[in-house]
Amino acid sequence: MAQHISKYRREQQFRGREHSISIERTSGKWVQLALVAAVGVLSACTTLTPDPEPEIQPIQIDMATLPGDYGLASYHQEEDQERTLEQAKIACSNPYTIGTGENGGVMMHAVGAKQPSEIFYKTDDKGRVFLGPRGAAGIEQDRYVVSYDERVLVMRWMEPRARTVYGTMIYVPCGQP
Amino acid sequence: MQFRLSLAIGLALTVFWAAISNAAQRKELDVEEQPGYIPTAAEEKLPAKWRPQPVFFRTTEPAGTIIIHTEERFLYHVMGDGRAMRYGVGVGRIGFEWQGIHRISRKSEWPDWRPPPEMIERQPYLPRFMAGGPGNPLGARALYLGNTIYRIHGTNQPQTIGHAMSSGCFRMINPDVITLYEGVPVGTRVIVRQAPKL
Repeated sequence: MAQHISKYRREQQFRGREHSISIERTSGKWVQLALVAAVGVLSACTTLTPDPEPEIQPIQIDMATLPGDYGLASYHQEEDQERTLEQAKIACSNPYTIGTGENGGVMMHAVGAKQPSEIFYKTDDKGRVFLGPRGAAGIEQDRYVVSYDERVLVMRWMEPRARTVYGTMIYVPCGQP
Repeated sequence: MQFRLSLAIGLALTVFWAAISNAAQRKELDVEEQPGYIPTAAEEKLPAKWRPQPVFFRTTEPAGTIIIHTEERFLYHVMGDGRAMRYGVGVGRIGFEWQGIHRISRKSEWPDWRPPPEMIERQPYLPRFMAGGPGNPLGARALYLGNTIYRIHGTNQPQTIGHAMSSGCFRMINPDVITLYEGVPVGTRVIVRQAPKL
């Protein structure tokens, strides 16, 4: 009994923290080498000026083209991204509809809301793009836009609980080949 | 005459009391699925009654067979020699009870979840597909029963074990379903029994 519970916990931890586990496993043997290299690089770089931070081009979304039916699917682990995209296409049989807003935005549901409300395109000073109600960018009611490519919209909720529950959401426009 | 009247009243009271206690026992959980919720180890520590345990179990079915008593909310994995490993399960709510004999047709680790249409109607923003993983309502493993829509699967809601609240599937806590999954091959016979009720 205790054995199978600990196996399950290990499995959960592995799926949730795959990245950190791999770092822990490999870090031990490279630590010394990395320190030596770092000292060398630092001493060589002291006279150089740091590179400027690369400018991030905000993702462009033409809000007027956004309304329509979408297949909606979500995932938590990166390894599930590809098949989730395929499932989003299949989900067009029961689509999610993005409506047209009256003030230049689009109509989408907030978590827990029965009726859609109007949301808008917003960017923050780091160039990140959000869809959300009017106001500052990056607030809890916003959706963070991960990507928008060939009309496939990928978003995450900013509100921590909703983000934990729904993970990364993929909206695939219906009626496309 | 007086004796008959007393007998009738006594009988009526007994039936009334039985009906009340039955209704109390049948009071079931009314909880929505909680996609994304990851139960703690403490939550997965079930009351003693629902924890896996070897029990005496008289049956003519061969070792390896799974027998589910929906009224008892127990799943028995027959071990032979009059013994079985017993697990607490959640079963179908009223109107979703069923019985039958099937074989496990497929096994799946961390199965994906598709919210039922009525849930999407209530919560239109729900993804129509959620990839499997911790926090998924179908839990860590699923055993598919024949060609039916029913499964024995894990859950992220340990508090539902021992209750009738599913749509006909049988749910176990994740550590238990992992153990069962490893012990039963595809083709295993599964008997779902529904005790007669008044």
